[in-house]
Formats: sequence, structure tokens, C-alpha cells
Amino acid sequence: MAMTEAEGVVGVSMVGTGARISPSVAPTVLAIYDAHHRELAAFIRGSERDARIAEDVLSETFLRLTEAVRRGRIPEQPRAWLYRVAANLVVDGGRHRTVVGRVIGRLVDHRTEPPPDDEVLRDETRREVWTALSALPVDARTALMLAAHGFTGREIAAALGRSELATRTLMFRARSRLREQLDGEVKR
Amino acid sequence: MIDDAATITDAGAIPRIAHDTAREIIANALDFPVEPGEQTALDAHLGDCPACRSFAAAMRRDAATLRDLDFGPVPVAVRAKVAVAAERGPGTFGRWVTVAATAAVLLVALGGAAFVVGGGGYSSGIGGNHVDWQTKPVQLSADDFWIDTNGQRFYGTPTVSVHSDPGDASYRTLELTWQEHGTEMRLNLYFTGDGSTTWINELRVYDGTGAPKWATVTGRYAAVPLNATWTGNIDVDFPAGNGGPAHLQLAGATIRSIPFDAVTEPAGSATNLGEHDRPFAVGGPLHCSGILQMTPQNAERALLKLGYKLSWRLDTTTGPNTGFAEPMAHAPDGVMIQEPLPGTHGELIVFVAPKGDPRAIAVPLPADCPNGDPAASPAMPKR
Repeated sequence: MAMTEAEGVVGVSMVGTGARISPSVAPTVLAIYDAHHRELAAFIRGSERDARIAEDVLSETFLRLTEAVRRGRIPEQPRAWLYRVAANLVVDGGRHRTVVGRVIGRLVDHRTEPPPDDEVLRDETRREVWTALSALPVDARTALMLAAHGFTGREIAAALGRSELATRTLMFRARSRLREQLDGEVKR
Repeated sequence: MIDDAATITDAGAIPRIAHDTAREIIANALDFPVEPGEQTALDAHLGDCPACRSFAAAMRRDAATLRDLDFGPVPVAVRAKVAVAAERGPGTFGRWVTVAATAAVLLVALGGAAFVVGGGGYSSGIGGNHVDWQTKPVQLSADDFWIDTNGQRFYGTPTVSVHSDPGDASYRTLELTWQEHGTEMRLNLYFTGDGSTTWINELRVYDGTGAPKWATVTGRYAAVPLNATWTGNIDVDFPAGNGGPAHLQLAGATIRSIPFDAVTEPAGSATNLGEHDRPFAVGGPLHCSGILQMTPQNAERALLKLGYKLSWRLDTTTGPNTGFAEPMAHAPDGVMIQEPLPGTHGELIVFVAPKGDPRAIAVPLPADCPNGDPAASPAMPKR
């Protein structure tokens, strides 16, 4: 052995005593973040009209993932888990803001808020869709965006905590209303 | 406007459905399975209803547009927030506004996405005490490192001396030494392995006292396939009965350990030394060669020319009777200090001390050699 030591090893080795190896939080969380953050951000941004709140929801979603990983509860299906958490944050936040809005009066009318800037939504059709989407209730927006991101009706029902029948009705009304908005049949 | 009449069943087998029903089926078909009967009725309806066909096309178009909605890249600050939260220990989460603020400061300070400070030593910023220890056989980095022992926390600051014994496929070490809180600290990791896997089978730390002794724990840690990199947290308690109590934390660690023989082969055929071969001893072919009085670099050239396989050890003294020998494939700067010895691969291991080291005393030409030093022993000093 190349190393020379004046000191000996004190004590008797005990196999595994007191040692704990756990999955690393940061690499796990950041790997999941890198894999899903872009699509999740698009989902949230489509569901939440306020860009700043959307960013908070994205951050909060990954904070909850961090807490889950730290407790050793790594989601078996991280993508579905992230969407479910984000959907609930958007819907719950939307309901909360609606209640607050009723109480203190509407300080900011989100429906008149300009859509994302031209650099992002260059395509006019997409701009119109986003504007129409913004006019829908938060649960309708969230359901439509979940569908747009590949989730089935059953999965959307599970994510939103609704029955399948109720989700059918929600989805039909959401899609119909979106179309009406785009057709200009309903004046905004 | 379309007719919203109720479902009508005519004399045929296919039920007729109203426009609203048709549209509900059209919309729901995007998200839910359609019953065969519904599909048949819908197909029949669409065959006769241009308005609902148009509605179906619009539904599909809207769904496609929603799928294509893109809001551009996510601000890098969001990833920084996530990284900061993930780096922090349990119970240290702040509100997002706090995390965001610290992340923003880090982003500004570091000019971009990188937020972990490199190098050894403690950094009080978010991201912990990042360490990066590299030797040829072992590379270890961690996002946070500390040792708690003797009532103090040691961060490996300000500088850590990093060494490895390259050993072989079944034995390697990573050996760290530093001075902190007025005492010498050490952390040794011992690697072992089999034909397919390598792992740490023993960890030792000094106990942080003025007369340090080792605390030890053994087990199987950071097991990973050969040549692969292990990532995870090493969070180890050293029990009092084993020289502790002490606690080692290596969070967000990546560890790679590969055998490193540090042997340089000569250009032509190589001489394989046996266990008892001593080419520089009295009677050996190199005893009076004067090679050990050369610089290490010139000695390397001469020995390779003579067909010897070579491996070098840079001996660094760390205290009375203590030190490390860093394996090197090529001659380091310094002074050759003792008789080279045969290694397990038939190579000649040459020992060099860095200039300034207490052991950096040039080996004299033996007295029994022509022009030899009268004061020198005929036999080379032994290791």
C-alpha cells in the first residue's frame, strides 16, 4: 500500500452500521425537470392566463416534486404526476382568485390582458386560439390543455378529481365554447 | 342555425341523432372511446350534415392548434429555483419568493445557469459546500460535503491534499488530508470490486481531536458497474464503538472509480521484473548506471530505452512517518529518493519526492561504483 500511516484503525468495523445511502434529490429532480419542464410550462401557460402566476405554478410543481423525492416518494410516472399537481394548482389557484375577485372587485381583468408577446405566438391562428382559451373558465382551460398534452378523458378526470361523466360534460362544453369564441358567436 | 331536434329513429336499423348529440359525440371522441353504436349513428349523421362535418373538422383543427401552442423557452431562473430547492436540506425550504431571490442573486453573481461553486472548501452560498476531488483512479464530486465530529463541522477547507493508491481491480483508495479547526483531518474511501462491479467497502474519517484517530465504517456503498459513474447521497454515521461518533455527508455525489496501473511500457520488448529482482542493488545491472542521479525525466528516457516498464510514485510527506505516494505513469518533477522496486505488473516503480519535501534528498552514486560517493552505502537505501 502506498500510503504510510503512523496511526492504526481504531475500533472494529461493523458492516453497514449507521450508514444510509439515499437517492440524490438534486440529480433526480433536475433530471425530471429537464425531461418535462418545457411541455409542462406550455400546459400551465395555456391553462393559466397570468404569465407570472404560470411561472409560480411551474416552480411550485417542481418544489412539490422535490419534497416528494426528498421523502423517498419518487413518482412512478413523473410526467403524469407533474401534470396532475400542476392542474390542481392552476384550478385551485383560479378558484381562489375568482373568490378574491368577487370580494375585492376586479382590479385586473385578465380577459383583457394581452396574450403572450408576438415573439412567442407569431402565428395568428395560435394567437386567436390562446385568446379564445383565455376566455374559458379555468377548469375548462386546464382540461383542454391536458387533452392537448396527450392525456385521455379518463386521465383528465383523474387529474381533476372529477367523475368521467362530469369530465365528458366539461370537455364537450369546453371544446364547444372554444369553437364559439373562435367563430365569434359569443361577444367577448 | 342547425336543427336541434331530438334523436329520431326511422324504419332503418341506424338511429338518427340530432345535431347536438352528434356534436357531443364528435367532441367527446377526441378524449373518450366512442361506443360502436354511437359511431355508426354519428357516421350516418355526418353523411347527411355538412354543418356537423364542418364542426368535426373544426374540433380536430382546434385540438391540433392547442397541441401546437408553444410559449417559448422557460426562463433559466425557474430551473435555478428548482435546483436551489433540491440542493437545500430538509426543513430549509423558504417560500418561493425567498428561493427565487437567492436564485436570482446567484444567477446574477455567476452570470448564467451555473450556480454551484466549484473547487474545494466551504462556500456559504446556496448549493452547499461543493467539492471536486480527482485522482487518476478515482473521481469524486459532491454538491455538499461535511464531516461532523468532536463537536465541530469540517468542510475540507481551505485546501485538501488528494491522493489515491491505484491498487488493482479489487483495491483502490481515495485519500484526503487537510488542516481545519487547528487539527489534521482525513477522509479515506476504500474501493473494491469484482469482475463487473465496483463499490466502496470502507470509509474512514479522523475524529477531529488533537491526537487524531480513525473512525471507521464498512459496508457496500455506491455500488456501480465497472466504468460507470455512481450518483447519489452518502450519508454515513460512524458509531462510537468504531472510533466515532462522526457523521459524513456527501450530498449530490458522483463517484467514478476505475483501475489505474500507471505503467508506461517501453517502445520495444519489455523486461518483466520478478518479485525479487533489484536492478539497482549491488550486483544489479543498473547499480552503477548513474540513472538515479539524473533528473526523473532523463531517468525515464534511459530506463524505457533499456526496456523497463515504469511506474512512478510522487512521495509527499504529510507528517512524521506519514505521507502519500501518488501514482503517475510518467516522471514527475522532483528528486529520486530511494531504490526503485519491482511492481506487481513486472514494472519498475521509481520513487520521487517533490522539491522542498523533507525526503527530497538525492540518492548518491554508491561508493563501490567508479566515481562513486565515498560516503554512500554500496547498497541503495531501501524503502
